[in-house]
Amino acid sequence: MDIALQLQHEEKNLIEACVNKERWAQKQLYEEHYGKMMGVCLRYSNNQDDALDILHEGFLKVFNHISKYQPGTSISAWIRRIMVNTSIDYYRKSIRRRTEDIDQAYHVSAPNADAISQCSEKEILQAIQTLSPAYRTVFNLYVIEGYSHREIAEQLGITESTSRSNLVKARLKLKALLASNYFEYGK
Amino acid sequence: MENNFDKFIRERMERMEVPKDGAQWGKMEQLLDQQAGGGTPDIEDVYLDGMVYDNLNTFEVPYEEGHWDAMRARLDDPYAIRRRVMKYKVIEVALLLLFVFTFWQYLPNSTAKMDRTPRPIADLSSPATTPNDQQQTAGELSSDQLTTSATLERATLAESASAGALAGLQQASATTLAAAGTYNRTASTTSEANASNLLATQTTRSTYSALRGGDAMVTPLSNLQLLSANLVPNEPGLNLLPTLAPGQLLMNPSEMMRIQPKLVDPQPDHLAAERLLVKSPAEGRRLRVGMVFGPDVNYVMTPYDDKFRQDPFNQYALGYSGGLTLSFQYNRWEVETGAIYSAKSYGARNTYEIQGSFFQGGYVRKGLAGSELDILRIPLNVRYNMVVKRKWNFYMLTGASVNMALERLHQFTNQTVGNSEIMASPVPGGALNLVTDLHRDPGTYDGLFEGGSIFENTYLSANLGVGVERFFGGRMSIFFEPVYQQQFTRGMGPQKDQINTMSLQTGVRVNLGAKR
Repeated sequence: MDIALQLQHEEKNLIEACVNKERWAQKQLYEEHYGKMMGVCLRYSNNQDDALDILHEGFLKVFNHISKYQPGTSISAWIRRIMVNTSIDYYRKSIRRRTEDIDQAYHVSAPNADAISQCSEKEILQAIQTLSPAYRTVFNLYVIEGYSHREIAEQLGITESTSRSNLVKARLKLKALLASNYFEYGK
Repeated sequence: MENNFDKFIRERMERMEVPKDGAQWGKMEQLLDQQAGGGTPDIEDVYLDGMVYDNLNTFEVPYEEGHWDAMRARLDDPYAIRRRVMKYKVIEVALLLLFVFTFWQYLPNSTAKMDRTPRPIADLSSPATTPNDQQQTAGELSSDQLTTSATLERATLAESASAGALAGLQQASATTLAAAGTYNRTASTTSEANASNLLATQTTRSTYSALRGGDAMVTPLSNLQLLSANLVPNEPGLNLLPTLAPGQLLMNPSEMMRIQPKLVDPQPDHLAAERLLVKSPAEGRRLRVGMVFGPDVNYVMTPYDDKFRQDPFNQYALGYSGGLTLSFQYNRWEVETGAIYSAKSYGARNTYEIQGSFFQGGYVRKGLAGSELDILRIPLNVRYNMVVKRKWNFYMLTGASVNMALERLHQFTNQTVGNSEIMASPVPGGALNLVTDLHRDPGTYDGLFEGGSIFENTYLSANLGVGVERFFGGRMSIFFEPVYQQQFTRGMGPQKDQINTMSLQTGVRVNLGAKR
């Protein structure tokens, strides 16, 4: 109990210091949440550089708006939410520059479920990163963040049916990619 | 026959309708949803989603040290831009001010222009002339027994020569104007040259008498006006010598010799008058702008450290400073402020902290190696001009300064050490348990432009100094002033350093507004 109170007190001090823009506190918060948030950002990006860019953009928002954080709630969840929103912004920017490979997913056959189950988290992450931004973003938001198609549609500025369609295509392609990994590495 | 059969079948088939079944539409809707991807995913999709969620929802990436540097650089970006903008703007303003103040004194003074166009002599009559003044001056003139018979047309030439003097002096004293009026009335009996010279001499003398009498400080005159008022022959720019040519004077030589002292004052009285009109460096009220630059000798005192039980550590360090000053002078007193940038760089007392452990990659000795502070100093000094000469001025000043650390750069040592060295560590108690990260001491490492607080980055100092100033021309001066600054508030930085500074400042000051 004492330890919990102490941790809560330390977190409060840390956040107050971050509000005062104390660099040591910013660094501590960054270090504490780097791992999880980088994992989030990697799911929404093609590569580590883009993920790092999203992460830093997200942390800039965190540091600039940390006074809006309400004590008592999970700081980790709050930061994660900001990271996801930053990733969505990243998707919006990237979609202007890219053309979607919509037809790509139609010619993929469904793989064996056993093959997919053998994949590691790193392989899954790599497969997700291979998806196009539209598919990847919808897949992440729906499957991992738990957004509904309606929410996804609002966030991404697309229709619900597009969201559904992208999700189906993302799944198909993901299955194919994971299966190909399985067969390629002889698992 | 065959045709009739076909027709029968076709009619029957065309009329055939299957009764509507509402449940069938549900199946169709489900198919449509599945095709669009919005329906319930099949078991394989559910499995895939679950697996991805389990693997990636809690997925964490190992921390990489270098990424914080990139983050810090992005955090510093706004401050860096602000700092760059401020630096360039300060340089820009300083150069502009230097340019303006350098060439200010060479700008033509519009009030000093002399009107050389001939005007009717009636224009010289002054409404301020009193009858008594006119009678008195007329009497003086008649006693000179001048016998010349110049015409009014010729007299206008002399009038034009003295017009500049009259224009400049008409606000000075009523005596001046009375003389001018008198001249107007007696112009018919005087030659143009004599009248103008006499008028000017009397005018100038009257003015100087009034000044010696002492009460009124007149509007300062330009040198050109003063010279035109004296009408001294051979004085450049006035070209009055032809008016004294013998051919133009209807006066016998003896009379000419007799009135000679009145025409051209053998005593260069105008110089004495100029000395009176020109304010000495210690007189008057004026605004002054200056640029200052010079080396600093900093005496850095690091106090006793409770945590590590370390003795005080004192050191000398060189630095430099430069900036702009603005002062207001009132006779011998002057109040001065400004904005002066100061760079202070010095080493740190050797204090190490041991981090890490034997099992986690070994011990690391971290320590502060040195600090560099970029400080903005805003002084408020009172100056007293003790010894005032015509071109030299010796003064002393005292006051206080607000010093703000805009940016701080701290250098750290980061050294891997072995067990034996750990045991010989200067940190009391073996220091094996000391894991305090120097970077995490709150508020001691960042300047104002790096997000640091004002409280942590500001200190006050008392100033005491002397100076010597050399004047050039009417507006500009150079000076040298050693100023000692004693910090009297708490120390700054991670080791709470106190810094006393001896600044050997050299610079330029320029008077704004009137010439000195």
